[in-house]
Amino acid sequence: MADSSFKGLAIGGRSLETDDAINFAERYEVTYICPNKHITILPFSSEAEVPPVWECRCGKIAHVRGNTPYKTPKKASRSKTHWEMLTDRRSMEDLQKNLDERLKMLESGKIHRGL
Amino acid sequence: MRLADKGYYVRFLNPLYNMLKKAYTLCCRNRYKTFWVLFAIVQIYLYFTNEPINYNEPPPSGDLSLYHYWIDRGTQFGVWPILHEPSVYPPYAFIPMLFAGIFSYQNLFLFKIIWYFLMMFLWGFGLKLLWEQVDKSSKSKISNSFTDIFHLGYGSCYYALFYMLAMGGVFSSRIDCMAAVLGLYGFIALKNSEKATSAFFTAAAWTKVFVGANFTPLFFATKKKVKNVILPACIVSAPILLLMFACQNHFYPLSFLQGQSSRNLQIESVAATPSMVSELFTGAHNIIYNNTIYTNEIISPVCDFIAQILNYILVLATAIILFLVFRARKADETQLILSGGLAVILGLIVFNKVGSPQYFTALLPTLAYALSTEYKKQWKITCILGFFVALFTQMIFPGVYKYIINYDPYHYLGILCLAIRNCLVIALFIVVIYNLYKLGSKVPKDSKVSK
Repeated sequence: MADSSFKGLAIGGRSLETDDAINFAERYEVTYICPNKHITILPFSSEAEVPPVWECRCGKIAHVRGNTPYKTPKKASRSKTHWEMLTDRRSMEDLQKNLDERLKMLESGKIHRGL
Repeated sequence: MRLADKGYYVRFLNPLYNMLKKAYTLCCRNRYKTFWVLFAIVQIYLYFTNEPINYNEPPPSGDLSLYHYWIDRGTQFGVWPILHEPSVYPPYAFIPMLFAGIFSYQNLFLFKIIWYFLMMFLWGFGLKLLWEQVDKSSKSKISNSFTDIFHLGYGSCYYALFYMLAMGGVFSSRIDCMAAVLGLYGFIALKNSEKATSAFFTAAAWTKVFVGANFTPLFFATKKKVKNVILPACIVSAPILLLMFACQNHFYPLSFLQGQSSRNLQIESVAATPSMVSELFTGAHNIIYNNTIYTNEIISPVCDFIAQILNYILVLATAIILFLVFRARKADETQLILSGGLAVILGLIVFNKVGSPQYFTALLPTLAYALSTEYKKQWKITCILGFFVALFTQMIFPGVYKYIINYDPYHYLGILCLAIRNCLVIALFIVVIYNLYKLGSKVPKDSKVSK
């Protein structure tokens, strides 16, 4: 029972990778102002054609007022992944040493694969 | 019939009447405390009219979102109105916006709260100064009724309070509120120092032109023009000149004047009223939203023609009013500044292509201060008319305005309100011009000209 259960993962599965090295596509923010002076700011791709009007939340037609460079959102603090916690505790050399030791034990038959 | 029974009155209504009478006497005896309690209530009312619960309703505080947008954009991307692009407001208008913007950390809600508190403190301080000035000049310290309070001059502070209440949210959520309070400080300083008055009026003019119009009668009324009027005005305007030299090509301090010349008639303007009323009968729909300056304008061949000639009429009317002010230059200084200033302001409103509700904020400093002077009896009609103008202004915006622009079945009600308000504005203008004319005609030979 214990061997067949999933541990530490939600149903639907998500990537444990961070977006550190990912570069988003170039974009800018377009401001729309409606007759009730509600301001709507929307990000658009630099390649996209910007619509001159946008429907405001109040139902009125908001007109475009200008573009500004896209503000990169602040990175929210997140919990460390298992791999990051491991690398915090052990150096890569230690881990390599451990792996070699376990592989040797596996080859000699002292331990066996789970299933 | 049982209700009219004598016993019923004795048992129930008589104690209630006595209680109310006691409360009234208490309020009149403690007039200072009563005033501040009412002031707080009015501020709460202004906040809730500014922020309607229904998102679809046009919020009177809409302009604050624009102010916040300008400051937010400036602090993040370095694009400032006036410095980098033409602006609809004069340069000093951005000082209170910057103040609220810096402490609000890009949060619109916080920006609005800081703005309301700033306006509340500035007006509270102004009314406190006005109250103290009345305190010094009033002979009797005891008042048993509200009529006594008005006779003693405290009516000026109460008038300001009720005017705010009548104007509603638009009063506190526009830059005009800032200019008006500067105008009030200017009037309060008039007794002690003309220099300070000149400085305050100049600052008000660089915030929003209307209140600054009080500067012109001050110029005519004073004897030592250079020392008391021009020099303080130059000192207050110096930072703008310095900025202009520093930025050279990228500075638009007078751009707020250019934006008005090419626009059409705004639906609320006095000149647009005949066309608006005629639309009721002809059934024509000519209201168009101008998205560059966020206003609803009326467009028809007649209105285009009126809009074109109104530019010239405004200049001509201002010249005539200034001549009337010049004619009355030897009259009492305070009277001249009050009447002349109000005449110029009303001239700028009546012959303007724009008739935004916040413009009527500019009348308050003059009307309120006039009730604290010895001429309060002469100003009674003007003040009553002014109050009703403010009241109808609130009824139009945020009241029936949405009916007019949406061609709602009730839009005749909106146009009726608009017509009544604009007729009241014209009546007020005529009364003020008549007073100014009378002031010029009856100049006593031994009048005290100025200090």
